[in-house]
Amino acid sequence: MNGIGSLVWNPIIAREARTRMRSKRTAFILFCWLAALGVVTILAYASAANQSASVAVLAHSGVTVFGALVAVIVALVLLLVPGLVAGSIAGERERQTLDLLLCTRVRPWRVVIGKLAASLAFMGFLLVASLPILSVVALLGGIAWGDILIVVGLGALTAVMIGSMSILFSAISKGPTGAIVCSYVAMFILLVGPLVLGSYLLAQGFASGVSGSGFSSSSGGGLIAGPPTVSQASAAPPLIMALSPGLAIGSEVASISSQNCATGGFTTIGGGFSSPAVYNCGVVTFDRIDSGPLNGWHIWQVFTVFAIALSALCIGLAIVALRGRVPWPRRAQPEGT
Amino acid sequence: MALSDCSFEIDTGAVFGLVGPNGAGKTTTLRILAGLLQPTSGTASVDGVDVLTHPQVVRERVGWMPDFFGVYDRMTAREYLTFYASCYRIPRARVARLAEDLMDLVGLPDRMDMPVDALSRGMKQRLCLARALIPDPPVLLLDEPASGLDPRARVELRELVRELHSMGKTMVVSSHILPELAEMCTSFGFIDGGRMVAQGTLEELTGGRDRSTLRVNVSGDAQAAAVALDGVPQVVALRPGDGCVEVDVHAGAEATSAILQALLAAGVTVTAVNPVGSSLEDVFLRVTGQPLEQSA
Repeated sequence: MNGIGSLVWNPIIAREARTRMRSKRTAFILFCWLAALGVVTILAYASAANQSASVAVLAHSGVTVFGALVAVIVALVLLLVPGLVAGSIAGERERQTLDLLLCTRVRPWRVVIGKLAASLAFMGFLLVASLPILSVVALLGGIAWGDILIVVGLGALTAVMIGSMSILFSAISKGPTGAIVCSYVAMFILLVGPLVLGSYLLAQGFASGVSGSGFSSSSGGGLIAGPPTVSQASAAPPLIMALSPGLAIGSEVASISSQNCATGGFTTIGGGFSSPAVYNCGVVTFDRIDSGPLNGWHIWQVFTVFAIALSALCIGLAIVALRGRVPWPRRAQPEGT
Repeated sequence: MALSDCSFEIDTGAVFGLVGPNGAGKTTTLRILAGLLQPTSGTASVDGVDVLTHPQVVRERVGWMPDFFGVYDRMTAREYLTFYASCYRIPRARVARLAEDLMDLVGLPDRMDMPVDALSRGMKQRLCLARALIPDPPVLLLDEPASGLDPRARVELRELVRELHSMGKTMVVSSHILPELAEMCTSFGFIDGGRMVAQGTLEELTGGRDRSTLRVNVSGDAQAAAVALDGVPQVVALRPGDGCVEVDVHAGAEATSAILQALLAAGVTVTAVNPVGSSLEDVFLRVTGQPLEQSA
């Protein structure tokens, strides 16, 4: 086997994929996934189309459908990934097949990477299966491919981050149940924790009258002189909030929404405060850091760095935990000692 | 501590029976030899390779069959073996033939395309042995291979072990049931409380005495039977009981024959003659101070 072939060699991925696809549960998950996305797309599209017959609103419906789809996909990814990943290594341990695997030439790091990749590949399969539905967004227009790629990338990164946390719990837990419960709890903390802590710090900032360093707010309504909101006048939220995948993806989608409104919605119809388009444009988004060492960074960029670091840390710890199960090669003792 | 003062050496090509009650340290010993567990102190080597310094090399020279055989759902036996063959990096071109040869060897050639989870326990055990043989290891470690098997499957397993022995494999077979091992092993090691308390061939362990006990059931007065057996030269000791006499004798076949002749001559009706325990069990009793079955 050549160098690259030897590096990517991982029989676990193929076996996992094959046995997973034979499960009735997989067919059920695929059905539910596509049904949820389909229903949300129809509802979001119908809702956007019914509000007004104006071209500007219809032009914006692509963003509405996109936002709704992203919300559902992220929710489903968060719901599925811990369940798919956390049981993988712990399940092998429970079935007592882990030792059999570690007896072979498969090293612990390949087990960790193989299990994680197999589960994430299944998530990728679900995303590919939903392409026909996602293409509705492209047909409706209003969103640049670059934006879609950023949001999809952030979703994938969230899946990798949650998956890496889950594989760590899988490697250290005795059974799959404990690993799955811990993974969901950790995911919830990661999702909500930064937002709750950030909100608390923000409230403290209000109380003390100190403006915390953090994001700058950009509003699509800036061009159209929409009614000022409390957020626009308030202190910027703390940096810690950028660590939540929910805010990172949400800010990006909101940013796309506001850009779309400013360039498409406003210029086409010439404004009008009471129209839904203007209301949408009035949403204030926090998408950039405006102080401190990360000045000028987008929220999604901060989140990306954090997610990659956390994933690498979790994968590393999982490999160390699994290597702890089998002996490390000891240095050969010199003769006569 | 699971193991302490546990030293032994196994000759190439031997079938070594690791005997001891549950919790004696058999599985721990085998896991260390398989490169799956690191001892806190001491050394171990398999086929001349140090387990501590080169665990990865050892893992490829050892076929490990745990007492519980984990199998994957939704896989056929062929896929199961193919998967493990790929884990050993066996070239793809060789895998199909190898899987067929191994299934042939373990006597499951017609189960190749059956789902693994639909196989009987005995069949799973043999499939697991086929898996252990994938890298063609010179050494096989079988942990309680006969546990949970029905009598027929045990006989088949014994035949399989004999065949592997004839192929030159060195094997370590653990069990807490002695008669099971007595028939397939060439040497034995008794382990108790993590210590190797005795080891050697059957001859070495029993000191060549090969004393055994027979239970003779009679349909009459057991006392009369005891009197009739009193003068028989092979008889070492007599314990008359209710409808039977337990007789300690020196040798095997001649002793039984002599006993039967003496009893028939005395007009005692014999209903059954059965061996009680074995000479190996006596040795185990002597070195550990308790019978194997009780301590198990």
